[in-house]
Amino acid sequence: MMSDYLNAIELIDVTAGYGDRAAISSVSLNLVPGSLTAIFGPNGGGKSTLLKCIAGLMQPWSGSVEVLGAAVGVNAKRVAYVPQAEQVDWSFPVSVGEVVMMGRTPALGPLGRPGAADHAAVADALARVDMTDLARRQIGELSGGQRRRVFLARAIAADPEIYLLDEPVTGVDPTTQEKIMNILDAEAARGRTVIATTHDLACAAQRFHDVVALAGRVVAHGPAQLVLDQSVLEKTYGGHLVPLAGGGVVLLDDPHHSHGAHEGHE
Amino acid sequence: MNPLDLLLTPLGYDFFVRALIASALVGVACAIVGSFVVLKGMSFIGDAVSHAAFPGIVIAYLIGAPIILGGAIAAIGTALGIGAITRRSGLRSDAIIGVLFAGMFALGVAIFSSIPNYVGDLFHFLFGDVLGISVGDLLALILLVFGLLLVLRLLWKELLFSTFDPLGAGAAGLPVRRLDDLLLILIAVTIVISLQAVGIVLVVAMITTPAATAQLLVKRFTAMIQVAALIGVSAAVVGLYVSYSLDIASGAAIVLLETLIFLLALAFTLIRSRIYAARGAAKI
Amino acid sequence: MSRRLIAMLVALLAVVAACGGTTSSPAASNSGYRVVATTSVFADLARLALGDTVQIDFIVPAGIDVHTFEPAPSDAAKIAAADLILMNGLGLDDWVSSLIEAAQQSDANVVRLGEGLEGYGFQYLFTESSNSGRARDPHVWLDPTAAELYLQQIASRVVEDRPELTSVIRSALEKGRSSLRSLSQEVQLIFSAIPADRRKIVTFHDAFRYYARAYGITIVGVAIASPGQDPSAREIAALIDAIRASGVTTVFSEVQFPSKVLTSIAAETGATVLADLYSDALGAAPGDTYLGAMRANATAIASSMQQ
Repeated sequence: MMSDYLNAIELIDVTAGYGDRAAISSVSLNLVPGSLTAIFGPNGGGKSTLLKCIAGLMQPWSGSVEVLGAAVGVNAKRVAYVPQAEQVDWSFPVSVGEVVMMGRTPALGPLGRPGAADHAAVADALARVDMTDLARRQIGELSGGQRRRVFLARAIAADPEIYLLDEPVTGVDPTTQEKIMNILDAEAARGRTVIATTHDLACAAQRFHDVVALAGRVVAHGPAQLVLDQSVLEKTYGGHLVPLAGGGVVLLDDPHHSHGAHEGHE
Repeated sequence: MNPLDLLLTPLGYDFFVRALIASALVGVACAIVGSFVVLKGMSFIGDAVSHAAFPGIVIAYLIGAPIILGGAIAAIGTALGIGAITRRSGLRSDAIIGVLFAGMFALGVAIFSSIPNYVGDLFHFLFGDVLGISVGDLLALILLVFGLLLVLRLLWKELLFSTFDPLGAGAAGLPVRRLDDLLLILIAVTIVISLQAVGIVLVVAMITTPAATAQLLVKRFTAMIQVAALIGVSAAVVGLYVSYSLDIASGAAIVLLETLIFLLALAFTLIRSRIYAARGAAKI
Repeated sequence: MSRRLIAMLVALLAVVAACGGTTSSPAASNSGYRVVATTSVFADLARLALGDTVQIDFIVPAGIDVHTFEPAPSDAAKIAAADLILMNGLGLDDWVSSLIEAAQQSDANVVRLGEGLEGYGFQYLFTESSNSGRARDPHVWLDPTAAELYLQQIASRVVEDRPELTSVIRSALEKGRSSLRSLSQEVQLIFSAIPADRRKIVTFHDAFRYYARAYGITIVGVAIASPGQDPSAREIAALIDAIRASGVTTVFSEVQFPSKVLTSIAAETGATVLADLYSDALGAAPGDTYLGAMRANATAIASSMQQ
């Protein structure tokens, strides 16, 4: 794939939020093709918001977002978005295979009907996530890990240049986590751009190439080891760190503690 | 009277055959559109839109314009308005929809009561006038139902994706907002063309009940739509015959049958899950 | 306010006041006696009985069904100002009772024309029944012989209230009665010219029993059994069968009812829909008087029988 742009994703001074509250302020970020980046930070820190701005699901209040060298939306077909598990209606009467086929919608165009190539892409995606046998199962009957893999398969079937994943490994068993991360790794190695939000700092440190620490603003952006940097953690989580006797801190990433509230002590 | 007579005698009358075709078409259209309505939890909106058609109908009646046009303008306008309000408030605002629902209907009642009118016409608006369907009415209905089904067929995968996962669909470049509005328009049009057969009060049942029944019984959306359509058609045909034999209003007969079918399906699924649970326990 | 505006408002008020029907003339206001009838038919019968001596008004506007009429508060004002209220009774216009109550009028000022007919052979409705048994068909006035009795009741009552008008009313009544009799003979002549087996009609609602009885006409069927309620599928089928069996070629609509079901029945049987028999109310000329309406009915019906 020829790229006539340097950055797969470019945010310049982006501020966005809901109602009158900004979730992210003055965020500037460049992500290159082939990167495998984890975005971490406290709840309310803007991780989902950032992802949605890149996906074109939210309009920034100010600043600009460029995806694959053009304004957001222009290249939407080359972007795949994997939503958080809570946001999906699992009782919807669709099968695994049907969900994965939805990923082919951009390729099919407005009046297109699935053809051989599309069925092959779906079969291939299902195989990569090890869900071939479950193709006809209704999604509500799947386990948590299986559900996560279905949506990943949908993204794979779309053959996108950019993967946006909202909490892809949160709350899944280690085996599934391993499988998912292997796939993301492989995609990044092929030159795709992979961005995932996560709470799991260990996973971020071990499996991702780069990280972005986001707490309304970009605290840090760099190699994955940054996750273990105490000063970065403090700046990102603020009062969410609880010091332990004998040194070290425990990170309290409790949904009840929103960014800005000072509950811990230094 | 032998059963064949029961079936064939009414078919000897043109008005009955037209009523039968019209009811069947309405049954199918409502069931198919209703599948989307039920999955998106929009039954209340459906009821609101059907009642909101009333002032449009009354004004058309007043000025001698085609009633279906007046109803369509009011229904589509209200449906899109509800869509806009829902998006703005972020949640499905039951209260605001309820306000529009009641307000529009009250407007219709106010206008109707102030003009010289015939109470039989009011009954037709509220409960349908399927026995009075003319050849012209039927042709228009056929065209509209086929148009509706064509649009749904063409945009099937987009509507499915957008209904199931608006975020994913939006990110993939689908115009989710416009698809939502399109669906609202399709719902409004289906309601308006069905009013002649079943009327304002009962059309929401035609939309909701077959789809809700299908949802109990099958697990794939395509199957759900097919089952819903089958129920819609069967209830319409049988209902019309029942209304003929028992001298009761046809719209009511159809809806009662659909409700009965729903209750049977419900009983069936409850019994089935009991059996599965018992089998499961027996294995342990 | 400018004078122009006032003039326009006064003109508007005058127009509004004139609507709703009045059959008064300048001389009428002299006696100051106000009669309000429920329908234009009874108002015209009152005119036949009383001439121009009193002011006569009616409530149900043209083109509106009398059976299912819903009175407005403004109608109560007319009732309140009335010296005599004429209604048919027998279930036709019971809604006027609520107006009478609202206007705090005395029941003593009400004459129930249809119920004051001693010894008249009433017909009964098959489909309706009241608590006291089957309901009587209220459309008595369509039989000119009964209409004469209506005239009699109206005249007697006004003479009772206003004895000074006795002679004027007596002459009006005589004129009226003789007009009715010659009408009756005219219509009798028209129909006797038609062979009995061709004297068949289909009307919109069941208003013509007494009329049919008077002239030896067979009512093959009616489109609606009770005003306000649609015929059921079986009723429509039965009517279609009856029309086909009887060979009737015309079905009559009435101006106060929508004729969709009639059109569809006519299309299916090959019959023609003819407008507009006068039944519960009068209309535009020549049907703007009872005599004119009855003549128009007879002509229309007779010519349809000869098709």
